[in-house]
Amino acid sequence: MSKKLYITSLLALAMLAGCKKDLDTTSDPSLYSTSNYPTTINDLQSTLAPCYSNLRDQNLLGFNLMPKALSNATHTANSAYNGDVSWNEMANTNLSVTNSYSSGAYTSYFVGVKNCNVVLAAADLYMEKFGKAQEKATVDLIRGQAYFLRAYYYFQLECLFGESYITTAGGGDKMGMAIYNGVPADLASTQVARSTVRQTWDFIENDLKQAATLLKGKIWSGDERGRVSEWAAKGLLGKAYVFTQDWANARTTLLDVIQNSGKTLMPFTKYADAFDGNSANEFNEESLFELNVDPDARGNDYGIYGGKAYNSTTINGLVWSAWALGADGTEGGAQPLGYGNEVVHDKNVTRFGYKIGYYNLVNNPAYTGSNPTQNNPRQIMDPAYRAQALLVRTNKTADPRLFVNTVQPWIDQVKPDGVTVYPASKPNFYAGQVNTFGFSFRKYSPVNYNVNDPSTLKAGANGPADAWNQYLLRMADVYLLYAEACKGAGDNGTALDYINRVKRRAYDLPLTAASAVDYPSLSSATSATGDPVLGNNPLYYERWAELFNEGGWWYDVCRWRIGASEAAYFGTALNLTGTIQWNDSKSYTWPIPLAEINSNSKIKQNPGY
Amino acid sequence: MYRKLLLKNVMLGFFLLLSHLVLAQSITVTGKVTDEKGNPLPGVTIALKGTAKGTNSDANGGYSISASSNDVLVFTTIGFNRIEEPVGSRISINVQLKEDQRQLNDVVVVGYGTQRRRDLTGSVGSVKGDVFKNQPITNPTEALQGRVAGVDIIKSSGAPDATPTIIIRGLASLNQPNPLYIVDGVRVPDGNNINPQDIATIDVLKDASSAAIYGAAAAGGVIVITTKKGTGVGTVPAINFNARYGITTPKLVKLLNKNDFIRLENIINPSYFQNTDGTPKAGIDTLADTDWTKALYRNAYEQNYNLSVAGSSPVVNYLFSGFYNSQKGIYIKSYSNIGGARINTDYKLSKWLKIGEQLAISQRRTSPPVGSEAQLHNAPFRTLPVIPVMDRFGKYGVVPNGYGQLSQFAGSNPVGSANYANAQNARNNLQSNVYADITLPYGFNFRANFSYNYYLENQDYFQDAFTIGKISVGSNSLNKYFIESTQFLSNYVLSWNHSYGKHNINAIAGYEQIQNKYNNLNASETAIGLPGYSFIQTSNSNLAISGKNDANGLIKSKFARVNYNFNSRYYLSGSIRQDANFVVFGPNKQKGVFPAASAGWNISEEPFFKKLLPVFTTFKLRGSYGELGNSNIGPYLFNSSYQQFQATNGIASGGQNFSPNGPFTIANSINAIPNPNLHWETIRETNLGIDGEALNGRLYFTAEVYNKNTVDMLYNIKLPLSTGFTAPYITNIGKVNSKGIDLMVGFRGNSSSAFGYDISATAGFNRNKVTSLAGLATDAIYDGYNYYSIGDPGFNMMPNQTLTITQAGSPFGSFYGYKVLGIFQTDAEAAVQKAGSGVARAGDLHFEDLNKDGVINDADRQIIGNPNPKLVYGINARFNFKGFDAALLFNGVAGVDIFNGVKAYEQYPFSDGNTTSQVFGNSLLGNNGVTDQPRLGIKNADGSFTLDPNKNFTSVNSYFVESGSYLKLKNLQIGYTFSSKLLQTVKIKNARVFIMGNNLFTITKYSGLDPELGSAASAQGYSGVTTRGVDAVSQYPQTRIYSAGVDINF
Repeated sequence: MSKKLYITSLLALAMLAGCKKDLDTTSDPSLYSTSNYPTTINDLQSTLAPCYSNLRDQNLLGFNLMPKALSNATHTANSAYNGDVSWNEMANTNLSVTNSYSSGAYTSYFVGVKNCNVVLAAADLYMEKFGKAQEKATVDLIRGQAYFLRAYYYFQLECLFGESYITTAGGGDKMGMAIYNGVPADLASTQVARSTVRQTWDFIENDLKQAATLLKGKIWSGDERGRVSEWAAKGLLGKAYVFTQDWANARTTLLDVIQNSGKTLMPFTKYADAFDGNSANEFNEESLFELNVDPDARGNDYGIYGGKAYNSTTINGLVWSAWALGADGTEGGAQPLGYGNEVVHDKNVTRFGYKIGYYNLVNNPAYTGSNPTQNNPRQIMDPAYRAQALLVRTNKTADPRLFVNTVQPWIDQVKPDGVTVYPASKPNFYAGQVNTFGFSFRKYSPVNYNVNDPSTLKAGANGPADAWNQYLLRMADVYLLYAEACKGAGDNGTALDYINRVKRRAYDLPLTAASAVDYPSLSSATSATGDPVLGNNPLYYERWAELFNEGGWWYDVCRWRIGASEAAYFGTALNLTGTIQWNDSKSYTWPIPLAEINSNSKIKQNPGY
Repeated sequence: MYRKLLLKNVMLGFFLLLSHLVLAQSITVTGKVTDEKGNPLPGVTIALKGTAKGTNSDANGGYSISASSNDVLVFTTIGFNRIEEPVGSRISINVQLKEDQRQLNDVVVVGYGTQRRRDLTGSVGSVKGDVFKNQPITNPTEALQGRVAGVDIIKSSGAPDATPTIIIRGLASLNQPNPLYIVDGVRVPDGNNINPQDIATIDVLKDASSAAIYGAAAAGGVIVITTKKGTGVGTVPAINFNARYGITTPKLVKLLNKNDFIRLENIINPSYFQNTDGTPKAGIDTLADTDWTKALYRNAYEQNYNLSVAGSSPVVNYLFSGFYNSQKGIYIKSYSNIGGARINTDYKLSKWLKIGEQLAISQRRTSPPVGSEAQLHNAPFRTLPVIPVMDRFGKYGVVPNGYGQLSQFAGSNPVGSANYANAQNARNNLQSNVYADITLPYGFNFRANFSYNYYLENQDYFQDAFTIGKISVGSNSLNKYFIESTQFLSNYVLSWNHSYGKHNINAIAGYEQIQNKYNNLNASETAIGLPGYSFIQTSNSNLAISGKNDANGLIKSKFARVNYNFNSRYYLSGSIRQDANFVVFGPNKQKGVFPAASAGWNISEEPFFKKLLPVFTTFKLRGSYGELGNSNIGPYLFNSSYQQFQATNGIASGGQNFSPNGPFTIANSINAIPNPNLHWETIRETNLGIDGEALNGRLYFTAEVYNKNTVDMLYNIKLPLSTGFTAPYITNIGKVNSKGIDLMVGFRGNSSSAFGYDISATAGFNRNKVTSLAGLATDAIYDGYNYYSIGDPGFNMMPNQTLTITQAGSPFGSFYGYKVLGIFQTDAEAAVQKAGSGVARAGDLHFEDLNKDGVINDADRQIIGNPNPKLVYGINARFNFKGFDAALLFNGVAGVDIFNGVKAYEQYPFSDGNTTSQVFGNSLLGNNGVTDQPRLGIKNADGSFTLDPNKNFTSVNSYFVESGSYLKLKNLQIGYTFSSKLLQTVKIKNARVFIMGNNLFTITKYSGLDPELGSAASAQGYSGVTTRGVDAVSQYPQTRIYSAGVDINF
């Protein structure tokens, strides 16, 4: 009996095991197959989203590119932290081929290019297999955004890694970038040589023209405000023309933007509060293309990093956060509103025309005698100096943009917990060092909350997070580009006019009326008194001052080839020993990363590396 | 088709049963079986030759069997020589069995069957369970260390649940496969959960011909584990209890204490602790003096309990066992405990039908390191001794203010960080197997196995919010996951044994099918309401959930093998297997065929040999060729798919909105370039061997030479960054050659003398070389970083510089960097060199300027070491004298290089952290002249200090390459077995007490903590072959264990 039972059950097992049918194709049940996706417009929108979200990659605007790479390379910031070799190399403007930040930027900008190529392929597949004819308009808007972003990514790549800019002296036949006009389908098509600089710019300009056509007339509003428009495309196209010294096209294109985009310069009152996370001032009348950033890491412990949730933030402010006076009322006990690794390089303070020198601490006459706090410090800024410093602001003896861009110790105030007001402070590593300014950043930096705790700004927000959007193209830039194009084409009058409009806004004056602060000529003295390059070049100075800490100055330094004088001006940096090692034959281009050299048989390295 | 076959065979079986019902005339024979000393031998099988009839001896060695006068009784039992006695007219037959000295008579489990060792034509190494039974291990792989020639086992971590690395006969692939584990005839996902004390034998199928019957999964070798069975029909059940307890001590690096740290800072950062005039700053005497290594590590313990009951009757034999092993980790808060049970039973339901099952369950509970301190370092170099663990207010200590940039210290308080994170992990295993074995007429036999394996892992990880210094976690969070995987395996094997005259044939044919299912869920919630392991949502909570259910896993295989021998003298064997794997290989290449052939010659059976070399009792020559597949890659890699976009920073970029706090759009993009031709890589191996015994089995040896070639190697081609694809393209490119010699020789004492010994040595010589890497750009793979934190190539002593190269013509993962010619003695001598920033000085390393361009840069890198040992060896010695026994196990490697990445941290301060006292031995530091350590940097005129302008410590160079040869006393065990008489009164058969030391000492010139190193993290995502021999900071420290235990048989 039991034997029968055993045999029966074994037979049953054998039947159960059976002989499974062969599987012809298999695919991961947790992923969408390339042959069957996207099937809806929403799916297609999902493929477009990474073209934008990639901008917040750690290697790009999410973390590394601005505070660690460009702010060091331009000496906008001074890094107290010297524990990261790649970071120090940036300040030294002398990179190795393995530099993390140049390699990272190269990697992630190309990921952006790939993401855009995926969208263009997905849009074709969608329209071929699933889309309805009446959806073509929506799909074209998606295509237009993808073309724009592909151009944007190539624009940055060409500026950072291209062998040369195009000038009257040539440069178009030098090495540009490897161009991918589609997603590579097999291994052989991943070995791509560098196109020439001219071909690369042609590709960028062509994409931007297509973007402008596809996006023509579309006005984004409401929840879609952050998307790319026709005018962003034309603005960037004009910038590409300026960067390649195609003055004629630049003038036409930029003038079109100035006259027809409906965009202008925002008033100074808004301008003074448009860079530190006031969301009422975001996507304003001056903004052409802007990266939306929310002060909420949505549970990721480390902002843009982590495995928990997608979010829409960046964490640049950790590095260059403002400083609050210590709770004990001392500069030695000063607390950063983030990591506080960087402050504004002191040389920038004087370049903005701040001429009253350093301050001393004196005993606080109002000190109660015990329990020193930030409101009851033992020592304070010398009141005489303080009065002078306030006069600088009232009388605008220094460029008012200094105070838009920075936080001044003792004069300005910060809120480390979002509520409590503290006097701003020198960083603790400058405490006791008299010959230092110790200004910290206001633009793109936390001033009203601790970047580690954004819940003080937005209830429920958690994880370190920046609060401010990043302007990727705004009208002040367009005005100055237009001025540059006019100057290049010999129209100095128009050039001067547009430079002055930008300056007038900074001094809170009407844009178009002549004013006392106007530059009389294109070689008039600027606030940067004694600065051999910027001191008598309003165009250069205005681009530097107006777009301070927005990541673009490096491109200007390189295309104008003023690197050596910049290095001489700043001298050194906290994270360096000795002077900045600028090298004209190398420093203007970043190296093609070793990993690319090792994997692409057709790639060639830039000279000097 | 197979179902039909089974039914047919079952029917045949019934007829067979009926045909045997005709009985012969018989008498009853009785007798007693004893050993050479006259002690009764229970459990001896007494069979009638040529029939299936038989019995077993009882507890007193007695037996009784019906037989006819022309029957022959065959007495067999494991460990003793077989005796045949013709019955004739006798009714009482007493026999004395001699202990079997001849290893070659052992039965070896090979794929889908067994063979006597003397009949083997492939290469199989065997280890008996007794020899490692009491070693402090919870993993059978570790039991093989030092015991099988050509099997390199590396145990490089002291973590309580660490599993060792195993490499059989050298590296063969970038995706070096793990061995395939076969337990009691069925494939299991891994061998990690088997109680070593349940193991009767482990056989390692080393060469391709023995493993080829397992086809596409066998490239890493096959480890065949046979668990114990109940024996001794008619005796009382054998009960065994054993227990051991051991103290575990860590091997650690010691960091600078406060005074030495300040002394160093006064040289390199004189403004931190000194005023400008050189006087110490105020308050220094109040600073802490913390030994962070001590704060994080401690002595721990290992304890193990095992109880088994085994017995046998004519119909049933059984084994029940249970075990519990508890290990406290040397790292604070860590532990891992495993408990489990096994039931093995066989039922002989009739002469033609045997069924049985093996059932094993286990559960391991571990408290793993989690949170920001999850990655352990053998010393936390990024700490400062001046930070207290706790300050005077009972809060976790932070960096003191007022000491310049030191006050900017951005590292953590690792004790605090560790204490704010808690986790528990449980891994549950069920391995089950039922079989039916049917004897059919004409020498046929049919066996069906049905095996079901179930694995369930779950983990709870709670991270509390905290702020300590510059490290903070803003809100608490809970992560919980489970992973459930199952494997259902069925196989059917028809075998045929036939002899006519002196021709013996054994043939098998079979079908096997494996279905794998995988199901997991991973959920996180931030800002939970109560600390702990339960999700309590609050209005601040964010949720993230991922998981998948994949039931596609399917492997279908057909196989066959024929073994032929003539007169046990000449052997021929051939096998073939076809494997179809539907989820791992591309649609164009789903099926692979793996053939093998071998031959042997028992030359000692030849009359001429017996005359010529009578000293050899056995001498066999054998040779084989076979092909194996390696499919050690993940599923679906041939596909390209859309998935949620992960920027280089992870999922945070997996969505985007377009207005302040606006709704999100999920970001999806394509993740790879497809490869429909992706398939297994093939290993082709030839093997020639000699097995022999001499001096009546006291001397025994095996020598083998092999040549392995890997073709169509699976290769992760790193795509150009400009493609935008950060995941590699996986394809079949490249060839590897691995050749070597395996030797085993042993000598044992005469079993009749009071002093017994058995000493054996194994040695595996191996040389591997990548012969072709037909990559596209540069045919080389650069890998390995001297990581401080794994995954951050920019933040370590040698930032963004790879340590190894794998290229055609060189061994896997050769160290690659500048070759050091010496240390410059004078500035004048040094002035020729430009490396890093500026000109070299006295005390700097002199690098070879390979391309003679006057500058030391990337182009001057060359191969500076080979991390693959030329020789892996082991020595086993066992002694016994009266009640005493001793066992020593040595293992060693020779001809190997180590990249001592830790040395850079030990001689140079890391970032804003600490170093060790070795730093004071550097050239020109303090009052030093030029020493044998390079200089730290140069003091500038203004008193500041420039660190390492020559990149002595911050470049990959041969100063850090050292010989890694060592000989280690892995295990020493001394025991005493109490005589039976003394214990009989308390019903104990015997009892053994023992003391043991594990990892007692190492003979080596290596200057680091321990030269037994596994593989460091691979940035390229390989399984470790490109990062062998890198002594990295980020590793769980190794340990020594001192134990004592008892082993009692009732």
